[in-house]
Amino acid sequence: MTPKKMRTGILFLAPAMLFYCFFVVFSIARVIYYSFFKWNGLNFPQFVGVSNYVRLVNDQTVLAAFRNNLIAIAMALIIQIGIALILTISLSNCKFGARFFRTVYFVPAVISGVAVAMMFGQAMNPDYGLINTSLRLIGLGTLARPWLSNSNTAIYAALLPQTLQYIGWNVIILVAGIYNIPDSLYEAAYLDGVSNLQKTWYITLPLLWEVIQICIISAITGSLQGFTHVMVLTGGGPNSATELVGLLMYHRTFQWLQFGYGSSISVGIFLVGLLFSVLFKRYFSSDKIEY
Amino acid sequence: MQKFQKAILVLLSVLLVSVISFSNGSCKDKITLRLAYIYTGGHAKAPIYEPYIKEFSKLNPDINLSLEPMNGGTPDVQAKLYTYAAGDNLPDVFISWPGPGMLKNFVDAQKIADLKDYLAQDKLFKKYFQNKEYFFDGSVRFEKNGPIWGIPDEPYYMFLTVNKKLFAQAGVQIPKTYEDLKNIIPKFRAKGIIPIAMAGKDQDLNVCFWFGMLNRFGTDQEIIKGLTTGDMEKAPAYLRSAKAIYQLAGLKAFPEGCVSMQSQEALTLFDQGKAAMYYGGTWYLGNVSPKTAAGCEVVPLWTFADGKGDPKELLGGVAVEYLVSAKSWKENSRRQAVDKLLHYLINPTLYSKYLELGTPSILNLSYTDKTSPLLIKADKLAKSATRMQQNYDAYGSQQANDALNNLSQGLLNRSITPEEAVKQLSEQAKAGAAN
Amino acid sequence: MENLQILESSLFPERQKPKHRKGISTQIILIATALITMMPLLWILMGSFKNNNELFLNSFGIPHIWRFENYYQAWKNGNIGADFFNSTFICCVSIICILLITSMAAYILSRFQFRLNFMIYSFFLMGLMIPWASNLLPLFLTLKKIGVYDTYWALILPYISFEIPFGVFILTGFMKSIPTELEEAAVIDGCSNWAIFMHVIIPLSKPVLSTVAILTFLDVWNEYLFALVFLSNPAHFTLSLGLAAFQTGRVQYYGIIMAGIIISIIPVLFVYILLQKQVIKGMTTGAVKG
Repeated sequence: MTPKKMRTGILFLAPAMLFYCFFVVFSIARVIYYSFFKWNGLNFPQFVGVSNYVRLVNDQTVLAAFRNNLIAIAMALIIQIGIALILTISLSNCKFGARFFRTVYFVPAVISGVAVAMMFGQAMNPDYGLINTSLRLIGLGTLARPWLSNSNTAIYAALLPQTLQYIGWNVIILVAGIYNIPDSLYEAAYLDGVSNLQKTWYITLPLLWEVIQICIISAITGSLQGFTHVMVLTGGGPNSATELVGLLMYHRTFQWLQFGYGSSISVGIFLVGLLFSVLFKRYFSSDKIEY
Repeated sequence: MQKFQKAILVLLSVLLVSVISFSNGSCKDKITLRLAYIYTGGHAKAPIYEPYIKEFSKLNPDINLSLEPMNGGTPDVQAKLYTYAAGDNLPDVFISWPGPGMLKNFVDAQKIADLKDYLAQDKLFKKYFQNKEYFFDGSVRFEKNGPIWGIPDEPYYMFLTVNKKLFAQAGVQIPKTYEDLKNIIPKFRAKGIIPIAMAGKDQDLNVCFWFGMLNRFGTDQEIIKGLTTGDMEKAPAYLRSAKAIYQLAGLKAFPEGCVSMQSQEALTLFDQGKAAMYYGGTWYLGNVSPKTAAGCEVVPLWTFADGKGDPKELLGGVAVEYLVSAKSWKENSRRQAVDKLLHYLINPTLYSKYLELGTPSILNLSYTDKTSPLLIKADKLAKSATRMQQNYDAYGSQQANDALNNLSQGLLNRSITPEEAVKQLSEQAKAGAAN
Repeated sequence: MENLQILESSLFPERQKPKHRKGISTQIILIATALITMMPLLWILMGSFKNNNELFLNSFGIPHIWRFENYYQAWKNGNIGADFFNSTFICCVSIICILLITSMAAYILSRFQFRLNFMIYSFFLMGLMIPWASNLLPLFLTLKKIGVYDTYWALILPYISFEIPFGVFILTGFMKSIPTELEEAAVIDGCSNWAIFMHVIIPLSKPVLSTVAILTFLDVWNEYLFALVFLSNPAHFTLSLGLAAFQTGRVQYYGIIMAGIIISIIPVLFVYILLQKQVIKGMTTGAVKG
């Protein structure tokens, strides 16, 4: 490690560091600072130690919201990344029109979340929405119900738009990764007479793992923070059945004007995200596969 | 040649500097005022309001009016205003929603101006608000004869709007009591008509419905005490009205899936003749198309046999008001400019134009042939009211108001019992008071 | 440079298309998914010609009356023309800066063997964990203090800063897989670090840089909260903020909102198709494992 290299290192890292520290780290530090105070943004902050955190872990609404976030993470990992993987692998074996399909799958991710949420809201209308009308058409009318109004189904229905909308987003990343896998491996497998499924399981997935990890981490952090779709669809109702921690943080901070408590929720989200990522890296992330 | 060029350059720079200094000089005499408002984009008042305020700078050349439309739904605009306040960046004059929940924090931090003396001394405002002082209570004034923190812009009152054609179709009369209502619901359903248009998503139709029925029981003091301190055991109003919603939901009085519907959707159902009635404020009059409005009637909400018998008590209040930033009000030169602006904004000329949209006014205005017929009926109802009661946002804290919203949703989709709802409401109201 | 080129061509032979063995079933899956995927866009397109009543009662049908005035309203009242320009300017500047800054940082974190590298990498990644909305007030205070409130920079600076974690995250991973032989050859040739960066690393990273550009563009183009709070002069509003004008108060004209959305999607699709060409070109000129 020569001094010249050191100098280059610092020079190249400097802009990123400066922007990041000044805007992001400084803001996060302030948020952590506020979380130890009782403050409505306008008056003089009052130091309250950890009482915001004590309130946080006892707050039933927050805990229920967190449970909803876990459901969001599960749906993102299983449905979103699952379907994205299937699509990516199909794309890599596509006969023609691969580029067309790639563009098409990406289109939903481009549309603002508000619009997609509105569309799903209309599709789930109990009387004339697409879903219930289709169910009745094929004779499964008994399954038709008010998806977003029923406290039991509401959260799954409300999370559906954000889960499905970003499948294309993951496809983009996975496709970039799949092109990194050299053909020689597939050639060898073909010569060995390996079936398609085995090819996918033993070659594609392991080598794609690095890239899948990116998708997983993004899905986890995104599911912990995002709330646009749910805000548009249900506003957190009925009776907090579809609350998410990000939405709750926004409400407590800007509607109840409890900046201190809202900040403690933010710190909570931050710590949980950190915990999940660290645990994930430790138990599921392996060294790069050599061949 | 060089000398010549130098001379030209010097001349040009002198000209430039002098021009700049002149414009600076004239800028010094101009005061810049910032006005933040919500009547923009898709808002029904925007086509009237925006051209009107753009004229202000032309009529007052010594004031530069900087216009700041606030886009977005209510929670987002609230977030914006509070961030402004926290960053000491409040506009000079801005529109806000009323009630202690919204204003208490501004007041405590001394961010908005007390306009009590101003309103008492200004000739025009004194005239406008003579005998209409009750509009201040609960919206911009929170103590008897106390400071007045803003000027109401739009009043409202709440009533039941019914579609006479659908009533005739089902062969029923307009309900005067709750018992009447219970009897006609099945008859509507038999004809495939939704009895009451309801939406639970935007804290409007659902909460006002609950609070409207709440006010048919008990005394004002009990109700106010319940919402502000959480002490609801002694007030039968809360439990009885919660039971009513629960019962009505069970009788299928509301559209299915209403809890996740927006108020717009519910009103569309009413406007399209699919729902027979809705309980809402004058702000929805613009949503009823003239065709439907022709066959509509406005009546007071039903009464309850075991509640207060007077049907002529009406729920009402202020929908939005103008607030003035305390910082601007302190400066004398600014105060005069703000005074001019306030008079321009709160003005019979502007308000008469709103009559077409069905927007009532605190000022005494005469109707034209373009005035919405439903508004005329609503005004008549309001004038004949024995008393104007205040809506929940006149005393609830944000936390209590949110609880009213959440729990009414729970009652509408029957996921909690009325007893449980009242219990949670009182807990939330208590917590809201503590904060 | 000659050595470099010879080395490059020997390491990266011309790619061949993968053998096609999954036949019809793959195509069926792809086509079916494509149809389902186009549905939201079609719905919004149809909806942009309807009024509120029709949107609710005839949600998934073809409009009975084609209300082109929705587009006119969206353009005029939403001030979409100016919003468009603002959004485009803010996005372009942000993306260029993000790509430059994060690729420089990723280069160091992936190629150089500093002891602190892992710590710095993790430090950057922590920024992924916090919701953007949490930072509204602190950022507002900071931006106001440095005097950029209500300017383009009020959005550009936060966008750059908040996308740095994501950019570093993705770019570092991909850059790690670039073989070191190329760099070593360049060093032998006497190239400075900057030259290596510009002439070796960046060209090889084109696919992933395009990917990062596309993804961060999405985040920034549709971003709403920061734009809402950090801008007050309507002349500076972005597209997402302009569209929100139709959600003001209690009245929402969904048809006009949809028209605005269609107008705002077109450039994004355009950018994507453009950048996608880059991604494919980059992918087909060289695999990075061999």
